[in-house]
Amino acid sequence: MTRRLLHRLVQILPTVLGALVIVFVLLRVVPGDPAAAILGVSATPESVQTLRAQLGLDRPLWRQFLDYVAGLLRLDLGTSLAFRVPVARLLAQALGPTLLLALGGTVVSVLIGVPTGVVAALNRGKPVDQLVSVLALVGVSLPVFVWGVVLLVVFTLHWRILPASGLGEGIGGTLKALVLPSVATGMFLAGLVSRITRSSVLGVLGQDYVRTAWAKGLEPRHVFRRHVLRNALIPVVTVVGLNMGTLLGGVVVVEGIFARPGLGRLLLDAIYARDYPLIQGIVLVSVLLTILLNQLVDLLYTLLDPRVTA
Amino acid sequence: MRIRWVAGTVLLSLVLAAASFGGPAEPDTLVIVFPSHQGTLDGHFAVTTQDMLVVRNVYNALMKYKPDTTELTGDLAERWEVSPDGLTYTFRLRRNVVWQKGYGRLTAQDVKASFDRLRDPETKSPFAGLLSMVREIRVLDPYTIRFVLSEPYAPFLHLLTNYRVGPVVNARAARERGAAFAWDPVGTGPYEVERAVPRTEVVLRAFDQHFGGRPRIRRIITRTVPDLNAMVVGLENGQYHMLYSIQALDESVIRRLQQRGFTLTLYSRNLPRVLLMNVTKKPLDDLRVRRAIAHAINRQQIIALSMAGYGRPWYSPVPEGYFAATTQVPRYEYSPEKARQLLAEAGYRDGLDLPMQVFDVMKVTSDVIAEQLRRVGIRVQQEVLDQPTFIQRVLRRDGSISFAVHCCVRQPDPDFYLSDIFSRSKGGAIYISGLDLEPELAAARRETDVEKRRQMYVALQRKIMENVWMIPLVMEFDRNVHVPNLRGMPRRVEALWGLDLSRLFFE
Repeated sequence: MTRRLLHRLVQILPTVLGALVIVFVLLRVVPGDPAAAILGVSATPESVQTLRAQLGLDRPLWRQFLDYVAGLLRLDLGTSLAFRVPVARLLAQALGPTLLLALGGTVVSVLIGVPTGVVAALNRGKPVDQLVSVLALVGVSLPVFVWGVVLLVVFTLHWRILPASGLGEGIGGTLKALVLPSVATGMFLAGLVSRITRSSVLGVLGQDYVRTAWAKGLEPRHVFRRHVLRNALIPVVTVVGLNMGTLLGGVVVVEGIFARPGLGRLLLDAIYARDYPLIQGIVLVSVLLTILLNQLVDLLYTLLDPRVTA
Repeated sequence: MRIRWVAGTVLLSLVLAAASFGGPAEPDTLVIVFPSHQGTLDGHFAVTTQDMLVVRNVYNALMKYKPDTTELTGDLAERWEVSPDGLTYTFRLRRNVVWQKGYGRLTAQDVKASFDRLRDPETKSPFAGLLSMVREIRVLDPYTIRFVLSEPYAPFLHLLTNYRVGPVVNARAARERGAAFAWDPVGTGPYEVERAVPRTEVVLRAFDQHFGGRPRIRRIITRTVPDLNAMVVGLENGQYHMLYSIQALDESVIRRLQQRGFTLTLYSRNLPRVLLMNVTKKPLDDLRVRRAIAHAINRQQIIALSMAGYGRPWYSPVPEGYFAATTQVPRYEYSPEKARQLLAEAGYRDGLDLPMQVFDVMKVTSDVIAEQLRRVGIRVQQEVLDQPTFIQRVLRRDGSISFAVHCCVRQPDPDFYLSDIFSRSKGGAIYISGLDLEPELAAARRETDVEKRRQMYVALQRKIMENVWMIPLVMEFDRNVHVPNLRGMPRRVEALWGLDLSRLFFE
């Protein structure tokens, strides 16, 4: 296990460094000047020059990169050009809401997807099964922003039971503000999870050991829980884990619609302002997050399926 | 099993009942939302209208404009004198001004320190250059301050309003707080910053020791809500009270909000939209082509299609509401036939190709104009650029921005505005024309006789329009939608960015 972890770490480093180099170079190839972005229409050639010097943008590119990496080694992500506060602070502020939303989306997808998938599998070929199929198709097909707007109209305009935007205050408020964005984020994954659960449960139901369990006269509920569900959920975990990345992509859109100040919106703002250090920081965090998620999926595997050794 | 179901359902309905969402907690809080985020609350760096919403209310300046006018009056200054030669400006300060957050009373020394901070190269304020005509600032006594200029500068008092160089910031607090000052500023204004979360919200608290008395609304929250739908929904369900300066809001949405009882407040920010062009490059160096373009423009259509109807046609270089604004200039009425005829005279019988650079926020207006020009045979090729790229290219001065709808808000004196557009040395991100009218502009800038100066600008405006060196299009109205019981909004004109929040109250 330890050796495997070390091995992983050695693999991670080049990935992160590569991503950083690519982003660093790409950003500076894209036209548009951070100083011009900050000063807007009040910019003059002199003020832009002054600001560029102040921001260290007038030094050679390799120097800037080396300085940046040196800063990273000191765990210093630099200072945002547009907001003049440490990038780490902005990331820390934005990471919470985004992770919470990604988690919320995942929970929604599992809560909706697994039960419907199981019900469909147990009623194979009946109208219920077809209904679930249609709903799953709708879930997968409707874009995130459509879900967002529909939910807004229904739950905040007509019924006024949930807030339209923001993060909410206190634990209750936070959860309330999380409901709609989570549903909007999780719907496409819910459809996917439902389909996978259905086929997976059907596959397991046909296995010999399940038949043996029935034959032994075990209680149906017990059989279903111990033998069927546990084995059927392994592919579901894979799908959920692998789709967390896609989910993070959807989060960007949802954060816009529900005005949640998370990582996605921070990235959009940063790009529009050509805020180099901030964009680099977000990329770095996203790369690390993706790698972490993959590790987490692996770990869940070993918990669910003793046949996979760590 | 069934009991569990029932219990679950009951619990769920309880949660939903508890969650039913009311408006903001206290009636003396005003929540203002807008789509873009604030960049800084440091008065010497603030640039956007969202920044200025806070800056206008956290700081005071020496001068201000009377509400709903473009007429100058004292803010921190009780009285002021200008020497006959226009070189010396002496200000007597109010004696009852207190700094926020325990920084004591304001004196002339503090005012000087604020200007010194702005001009200090170490501060690196982008606006330091705007005070280049100031030779020295002298404190005569604790409540008298004198500015000595190196040459007469007629619009000097306008510079001292609460905008760019004017905000009087507490230099000591700025030194002590360093970078943190940008989000935890100290001024003397009617509101102080209680809490600021960059990109999210700024919470303002009424500053009870303000010399103008206690502001009526105790707390004001300015919040960034990037999605228009979320903003509208939030207004309708009582989360927010004002959609501030929302130019992107559709006419039908505004009408619906009005039907639901919300108030639309329109006022002018003296904000023009103009068509700027590089008149030194082909084909725009030909006066006949420029006149043809002027005749091809249908302003009413621009207002109807790209501004939801909220604007007025405008024909003169100096925006309506400014000093020396005039309607006595040559006008080019909408006439496609005349436009085609002029193009034919210029040798473009089969029309011509014309590249147009589009500042992304001007996209819709640019589309309307491109279509109007197409009808007289001018084939416009649009290139859409975001702000950083557009401005960077203007500042490169390489002519790569040669034809564009563009604009700006400045203090209502023609010098700032015309210099932006026509002075090679003073122009910045607006300088597209390639012309240099600096000699005329400098003469008018130095003229101390008000009436003479007005005449100079009127003459200059005629000259500009005879030569069609720019095409003024429309004066745009600022659009704000808010709860019906909010009072004190500007009615006619708001001369600077931002709003005076201390005038607002709930009825």
